[in-house]
Amino acid sequence: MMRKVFNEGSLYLVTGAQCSLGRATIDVVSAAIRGGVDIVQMREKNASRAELVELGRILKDICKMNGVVFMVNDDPYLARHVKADGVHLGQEDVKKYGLPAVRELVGPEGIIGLSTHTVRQAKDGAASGADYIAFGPVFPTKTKDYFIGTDGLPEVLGLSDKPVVVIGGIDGENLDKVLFLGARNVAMIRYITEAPDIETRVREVKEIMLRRGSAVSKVNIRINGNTESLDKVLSIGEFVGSKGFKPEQVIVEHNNVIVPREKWRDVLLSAGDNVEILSFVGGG
Amino acid sequence: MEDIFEIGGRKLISRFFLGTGKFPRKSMVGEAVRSSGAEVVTVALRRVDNGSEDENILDHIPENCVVMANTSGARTAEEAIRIARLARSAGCGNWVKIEVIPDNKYLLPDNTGTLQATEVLVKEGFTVLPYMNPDLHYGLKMAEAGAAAVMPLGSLIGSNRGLRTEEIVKVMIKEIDAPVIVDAGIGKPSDAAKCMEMGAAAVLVNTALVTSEDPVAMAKAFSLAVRAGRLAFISGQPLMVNEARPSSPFKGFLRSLTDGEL
Repeated sequence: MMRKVFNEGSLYLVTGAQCSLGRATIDVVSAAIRGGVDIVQMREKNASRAELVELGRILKDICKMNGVVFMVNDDPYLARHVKADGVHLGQEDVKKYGLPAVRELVGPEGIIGLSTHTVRQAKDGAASGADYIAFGPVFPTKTKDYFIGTDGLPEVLGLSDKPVVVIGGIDGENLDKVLFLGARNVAMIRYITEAPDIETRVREVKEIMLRRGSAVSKVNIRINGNTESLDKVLSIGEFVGSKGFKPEQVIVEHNNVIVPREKWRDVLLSAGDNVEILSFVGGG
Repeated sequence: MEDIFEIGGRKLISRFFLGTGKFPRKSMVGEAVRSSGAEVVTVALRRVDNGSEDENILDHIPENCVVMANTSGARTAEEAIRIARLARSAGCGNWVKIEVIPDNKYLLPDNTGTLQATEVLVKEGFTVLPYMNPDLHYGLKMAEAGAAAVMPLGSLIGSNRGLRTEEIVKVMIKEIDAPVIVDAGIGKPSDAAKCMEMGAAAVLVNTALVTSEDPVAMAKAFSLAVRAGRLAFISGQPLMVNEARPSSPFKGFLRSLTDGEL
């Protein structure tokens, strides 16, 4: 059975002091965690080894305290040194170290992520010893000088049970597109690190992911006065169908607002929603 | 001559309104509607927890009927308003029988809450028929607020005890311009006939049907009684006197010779 490295529906932050509007990475990560980020990767291209060790230890502590997965970019030795949850490798890193050696360094519980940039690489990566693969850059990004688009995304998402993190230029504009294509886990750099209010930005992104059915948490709603836990976000239409109701026989009230039948597919149930499902019965 | 009346812009012939609660089979509702010729039927709105019910009460109500949702279960005006809106959104028209009933023992309506709900729902375009405790002044206020009819109770809901509120209902019929429809407690066709003879615009019956052995036949019996009572009312009330008045000529009797001596 496959090891669970993180929950599907995760929001993955990749750090970068150079694009944090002058804010310290520690502050950026703290705010992102308050907003609900699930995974943090330390990726500081301009920092010295000593700085990375110091920062890595601090970030590790912050993440651990908050139940957030902490990854280190590129360097399995550094990952082991700061006791990160795992290491994220580029294609060159795999060539440089070899996956078996990396596994040795991070241990059987350590998480190995792998960047892939083509469907071919993604296939190889999914079949390799990596625990998850990142696929991108799907959109133009300042971090890379090319992007690959989203055409291969549906195929990559269906390759294996291993989580796929979609990355590269994802922002508030195009997030919906990757989620619509089936992405469950999304990585972001600048859309978070350059946000004026990082905590709010992360919360907004998580909200969008949740509404699109990809974010982690179970959706607890009130149905006819009882609490019910949904595994994923459903539209009212889907929910009514899952209960075996004939749509033409029930009336749905959502947070005290009556939802006309033709709108059922557009209204998504999210946590805390109050839903009444009613039907006509005999009465005097 | 056709005796047509109108409520909420709808022309009606049958003055027998049928409640659909407690029928042993849903299909029997349709049979009772057909046997009685009822044109207005009431339904209630309830939470449903799964889709196991394969048929809906509405499937058994003929299309030409007015479906009037009641707000049963509402304890306040706000709840009644909410239920009415939900019912209308379900797409079966804008008739609503307002029930605001704060107590579970006597199921007596709260006229204040009923009046409040009437005011709000009339403004929202509903055809509002408030179920109420017989009371002249509340009845007048409800009519003034735009109620399409007022529905005083005959006796406690489901009690089959007949028209125990006769005196007040009589006053209401006389003084309120809106149609007065007697609802609740009507237990026998003769009770219904009595309401109609008094000049009630219609009666609403439910429990008396389903507590009889043959609800479909009983529905017909009620509708006949309602027609009889109505016809009696429009024929003019006969005067009551305290001495006998022969119905045959009192001259020209075939009698013995000794008769003239009296």
